[in-house]
Amino acid sequence: MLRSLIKTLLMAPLLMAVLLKAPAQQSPQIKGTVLDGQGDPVEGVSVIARRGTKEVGSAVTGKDGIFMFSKLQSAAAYDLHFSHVNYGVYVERGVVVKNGLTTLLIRLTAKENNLSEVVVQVGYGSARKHDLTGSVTSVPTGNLVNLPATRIDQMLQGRAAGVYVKSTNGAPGSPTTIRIRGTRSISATNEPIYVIDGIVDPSGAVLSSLNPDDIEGIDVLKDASTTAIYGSRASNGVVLITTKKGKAGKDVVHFSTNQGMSQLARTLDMMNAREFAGFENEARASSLNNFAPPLYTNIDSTVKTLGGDKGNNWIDDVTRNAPFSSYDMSISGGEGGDHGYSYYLSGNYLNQQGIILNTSFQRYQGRLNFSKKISSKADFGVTLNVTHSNTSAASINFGSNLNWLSSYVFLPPTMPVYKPDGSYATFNPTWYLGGGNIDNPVAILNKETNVTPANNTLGNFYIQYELLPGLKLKSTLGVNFINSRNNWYVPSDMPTKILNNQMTGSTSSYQSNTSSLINENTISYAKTIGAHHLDFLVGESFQTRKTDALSGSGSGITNDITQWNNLGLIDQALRTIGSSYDENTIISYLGRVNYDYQKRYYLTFTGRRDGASNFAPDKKWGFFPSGAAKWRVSNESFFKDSKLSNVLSELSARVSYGLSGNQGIGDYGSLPSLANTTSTSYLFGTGQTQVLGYTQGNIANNNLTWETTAQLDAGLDFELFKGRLNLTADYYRMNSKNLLVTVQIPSQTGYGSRLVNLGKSLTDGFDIALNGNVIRSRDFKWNVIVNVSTNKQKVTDIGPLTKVLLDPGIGYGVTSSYMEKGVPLGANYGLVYAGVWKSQADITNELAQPSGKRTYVSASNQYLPGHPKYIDPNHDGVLNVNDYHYLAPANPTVYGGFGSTLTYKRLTFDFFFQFNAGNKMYNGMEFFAGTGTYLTNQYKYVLNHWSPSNPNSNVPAVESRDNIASTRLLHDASLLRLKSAMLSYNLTGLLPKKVFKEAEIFVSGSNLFLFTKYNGFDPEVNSGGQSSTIVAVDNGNYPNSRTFTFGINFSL
Amino acid sequence: MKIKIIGLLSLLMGGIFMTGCQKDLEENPKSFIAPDDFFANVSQCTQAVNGAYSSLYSIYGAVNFWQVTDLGTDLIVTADANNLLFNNYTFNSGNTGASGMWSTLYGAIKNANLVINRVSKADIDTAMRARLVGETKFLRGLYYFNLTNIFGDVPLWTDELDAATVGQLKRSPQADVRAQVIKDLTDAAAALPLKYGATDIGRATQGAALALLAKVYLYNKDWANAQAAALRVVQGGQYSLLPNYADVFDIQDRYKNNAESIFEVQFRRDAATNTNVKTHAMVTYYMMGIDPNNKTYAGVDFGNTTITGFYVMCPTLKLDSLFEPNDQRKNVVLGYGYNGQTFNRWPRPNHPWFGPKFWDLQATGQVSGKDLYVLRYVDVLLMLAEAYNEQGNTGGSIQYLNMVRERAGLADLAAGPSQDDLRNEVMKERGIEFVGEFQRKWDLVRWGKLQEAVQSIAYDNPTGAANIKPYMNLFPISATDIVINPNLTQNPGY
Repeated sequence: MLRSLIKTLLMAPLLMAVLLKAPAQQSPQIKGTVLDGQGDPVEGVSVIARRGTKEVGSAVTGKDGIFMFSKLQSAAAYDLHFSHVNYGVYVERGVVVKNGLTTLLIRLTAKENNLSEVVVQVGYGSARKHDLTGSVTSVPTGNLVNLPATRIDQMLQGRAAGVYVKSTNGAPGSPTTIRIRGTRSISATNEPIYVIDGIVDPSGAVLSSLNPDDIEGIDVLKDASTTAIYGSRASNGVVLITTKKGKAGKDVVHFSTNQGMSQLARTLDMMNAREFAGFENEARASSLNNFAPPLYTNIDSTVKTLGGDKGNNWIDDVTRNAPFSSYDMSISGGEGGDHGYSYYLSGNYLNQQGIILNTSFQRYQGRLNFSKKISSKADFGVTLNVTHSNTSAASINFGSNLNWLSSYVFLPPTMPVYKPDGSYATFNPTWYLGGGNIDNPVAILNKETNVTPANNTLGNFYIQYELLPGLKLKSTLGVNFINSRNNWYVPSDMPTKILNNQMTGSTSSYQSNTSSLINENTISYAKTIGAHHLDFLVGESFQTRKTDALSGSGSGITNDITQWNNLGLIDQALRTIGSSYDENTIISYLGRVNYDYQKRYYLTFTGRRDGASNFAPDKKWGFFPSGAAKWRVSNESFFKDSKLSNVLSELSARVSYGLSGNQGIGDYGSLPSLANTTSTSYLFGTGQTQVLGYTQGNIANNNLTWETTAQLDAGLDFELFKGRLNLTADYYRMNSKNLLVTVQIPSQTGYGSRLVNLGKSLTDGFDIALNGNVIRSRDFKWNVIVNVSTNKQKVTDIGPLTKVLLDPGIGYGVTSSYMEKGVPLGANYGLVYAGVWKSQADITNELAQPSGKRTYVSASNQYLPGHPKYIDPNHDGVLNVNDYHYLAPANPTVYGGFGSTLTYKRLTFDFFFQFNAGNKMYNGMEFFAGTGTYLTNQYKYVLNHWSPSNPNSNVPAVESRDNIASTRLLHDASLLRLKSAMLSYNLTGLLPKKVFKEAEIFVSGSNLFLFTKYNGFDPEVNSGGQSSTIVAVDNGNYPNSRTFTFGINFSL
Repeated sequence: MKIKIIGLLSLLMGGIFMTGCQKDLEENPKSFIAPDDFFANVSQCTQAVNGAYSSLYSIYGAVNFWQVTDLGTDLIVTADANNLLFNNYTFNSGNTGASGMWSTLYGAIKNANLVINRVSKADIDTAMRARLVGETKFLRGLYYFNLTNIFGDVPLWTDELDAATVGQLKRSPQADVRAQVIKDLTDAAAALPLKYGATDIGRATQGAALALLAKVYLYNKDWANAQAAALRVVQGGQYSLLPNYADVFDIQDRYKNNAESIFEVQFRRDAATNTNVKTHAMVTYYMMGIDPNNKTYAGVDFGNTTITGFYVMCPTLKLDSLFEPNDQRKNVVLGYGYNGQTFNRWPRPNHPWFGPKFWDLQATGQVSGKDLYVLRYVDVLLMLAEAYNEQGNTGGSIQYLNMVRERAGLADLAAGPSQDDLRNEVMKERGIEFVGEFQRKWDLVRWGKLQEAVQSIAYDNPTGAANIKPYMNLFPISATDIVINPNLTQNPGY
């Protein structure tokens, strides 16, 4: 009370100044100042002056809270309507003006509690956070803008409870994999759908085409009540992205730039040249290599020619410190009133160089968001995003075992990059006993081109009309056009081509065009009758997507100039061509009813009926209903009267239940087809000409239909100490059925697998989010956010099958993931490592035990001293598929993040940690680099391997590569990462105020520290890309980088 | 204004209600063809038959096929870790063993079944239809023959795929499978031409069907029928032995589909333009490794070749010892040098390398365009020799054996050998002629001599000699397959 009085007093001189500056005796004017309950001016209040029902003017308050109307009629009475999102509507009636200036002081009271008025997007509408019946996590992007992020999903990491975001690899612009409340599907997608400014599920690559700076907010819909409005595709959650809109008032020009550097965040602990040479000689001499002679007869001289013990570190050779640079500019503004408009226009240039040589991602992007009121009842608008990007990718092997002979992780440190004459070295001495010639990774990175220019246009147009008070008709048309072309060129002077004297180039090019169209029409109606408030929404949606592609490739190119730009120059016999076409349609009818009584009891019913073209003819339609109820305890009078309300300003309990679907499979999956055999066309005739042939392709599946998830969610929302502390906690439980599974079928059918609806899974867990404004004094502000989520999942039914292999692609018969009843999806399987056979006697004793009494088992050729042994789960002494059992989940059981923002006067420090725990993963690279095989370089720990002179070691002897997944190679993938940190200094007011409204300088960094026991580059990697089931294999991937930037950020 | 906006809105909304009907959900694929829309004319039927041929690549071009047919015999050994399973007889139902061939061969059978059933019903020229069905029946016979040789009893189905039913099938006895093969090959022999015009070289001929038929009878020990079928090949007059054994394996184009070739899998690499049309990597399995930092192989300069040799397959001393002095085949099958140079190292002490029969000096890296033989005329002659001998007609047998010996530069057999002598001679000749041609293991199995043969080379393969048991004549059915189809039974011993 005292404080607000002081503020009013402080404002008084300001008011006086306004009065004094008033021009003398003009036409009647109204000038006023809008203050809040505490006496601070309120900016952005829309003020409409009406005479009777006629609007005669509109204005918006400025930063000082002042508005003004001029050219009014003398002695007339005006009604002034004030509205602001945080304050509701206030009408000052019957303001009579005379010639000259009439001044007003308007005091708006915040609607209940300011914090409770956070508006959340819920799909086809928005809701105040406290009126929400479902579970929605909102991520304001305000304090993320200065971080060096290329994609918005990277910014989500750890920030939203129940949302697990994992990088798939570190290449610039590459996607993440997102799991909202865990994994439930097997073969269909587990990724959420995105809704960007109302455009549902735009085509792929859309996230890298958006500028993080344009994002106003991200709302993640998690429970069935909120997702069911997106029915068919919503079982994995929905991410709603809203971009910035212009605000009525003065035009604002904003500029920011971020300049910095990325570096390899973490390297691998591999052997150096001296260590490797000794190891190699020993490994070759193994009985398993038939006692081959040493490769390095004089290690000293070998090392000397390489310039020291270190030899050549291939990881260093291919990585670099890479510049990061980003520029953003926007201009926004608008005008209030019945014919008002708002606009937001922005542009972004991003140039992120990759830490691997010659890789990069560049983006040129522009956005226009515009809306215009035609009358008090009608408005229309557009959000339009146009992006051109260019990705330069690396064509090297990142450590996948299947191409071990040339991977930069595996190449021996005794092989140099260059020969003494300066040309690229080609001879890999460890490519089998004879060695062989390769193009080394540095040569590939420097010479090969692999670029993908892409254009992405995303636009949404709407028109809205309020037919009767509260009854709104809205029609939207969204479009998404993507065209991209991947071009790859291998020049004629690749080292092995020179060596083989076959100096011609080869190229391939793949062009793809996608056009999607979405039309949605909704009718909404809101009505308050006494204490009853009702909200209806009905609508329908029609969405279609067409994708066509054209590809060409060729070899024998005798010049290096035309590359992929004139495929016609390629010898006809050396050309190939291909094309494809896909079409998908979804038709939906949707409806929602929201009801509340006195803001105490809330009910929501949602239903959506979807038809999807990609299911079997009679199985295309699905219905996805949901219901939710909420009791806002804190609005009960008994609660308000209790002492508890002094502490607990807000308390509500929510529960929801409903169905949502998943149709994330390819098109035409239910239809039979013939496959053409272009790649295997048989040769006939004296000249051996390839002749087209057809074989059986897909087999019909007349039962292919929706995968359905039933989700129960129960949540509590707390607000303590007048909004200083917010806590939201949810429990969820999801039962999915008719899972779309690619099931192994008996291979005697000629097929290995087939997509069917089969089986069930169960997922449950808690999401807890805490947000505290611990200190919010004028000079010092301290905010803390914490979110923790748990997730447990298991397969509850896989029909007649018992154990289904999920191949993570490690190769060489390594099987490390199965699906089995009672076990989490994508789980890690294998054997329990039991050390090495210490001696021949050890082996003899074990083998003397009869089958059924065995304790240990080895691969058949590994019954040798020093070689690995495993616990034999069925004691039969035979190592086969029956021995593989569940070891650990692949998805974290607990994950989340915590961070804090501290502001002291002009200085702000912000940091954020992200963590996950409980998951394990195989380092696929170790199946070569940790098994003592002479074929590749090894982890340094292999130096301590068992040998007759090191008999106590449990690191297996040389040549122990048995391709068996075991606990020895399964690592704890828990991590704690300092995901971001930023220090900024607010210059507002220090610079000429006439020029700079706001200004700030900052330094920031991402992925700054990683605490983990994992021995690969980073446990946050997924070789399966966005694969549904394979989430925990590191098959060698573009490593993650650490980025530091500094920048400035100002508004004019 | 109001009217305009309402008009516009209702236009937008109404328009969509009209178009947004059920029909839009029907899928009309434009980038592939459904089987029901195909098989309407000769061209389409021919293309479907061509597809059935393409399975030959995934069989004969596959490492697993080489492992299953040529490793674990008395002629070839390996020290390569990825191939030891087959060499050492440590395969079981859990490690991959021959499961790759199981799925590949059923994939091939699945395609052949579709083609046979659809083309048989196609409304096209009768003669052409008979030929196309005949070609495919030859292929299906070949695929089932290979399959049953590897696994013994196997599920047998010949209709178009009904996944639910076929997936539950039990194994049919080997005799029933072979009976089906005989039926297919008999049909094929009746329908196929003796030879083709230039553009169709490489397709299955009547000779191919009869030669394979003879072989199936031989495996069944049905000597009379084997003899009859083989004689029809001889009488057809289409084939003769090339005078020079080395030419049979010469990579030059003019030796492709030569007079001795009855059926070969067509591969092509155009060395002149460095074009890999259709290739395999078998050369890497047999070729010596390149010398470190050099372009020579075991000290020998092969000119411009860049083959990456892994010498997975190494000859045994026993193979070396099979050759009589002056056998012209020795320096083709085995390698001691090239172009006047002698190798300076060997795969193992006192062992030669494999020789020019397996090389392809036009190959690059791991890529070779050398055709792979399925049936050669010399096989027909040796089958005749065996069939005659087993029926007690040693004279008839010697006649054909001598044809083979003469081409090899060897003297005719002395008169009066016993049936046993000739049996041994046949076994020896088949060993020399077909080493590396996917025959040795099956020959040894049908003679009941696999275990004895592997034990006879304990010097070269001590582990295999110690491990081999009689039941290992057949490969185990993969445990994974038994899990998915519980109606499958395992071969005894596994």
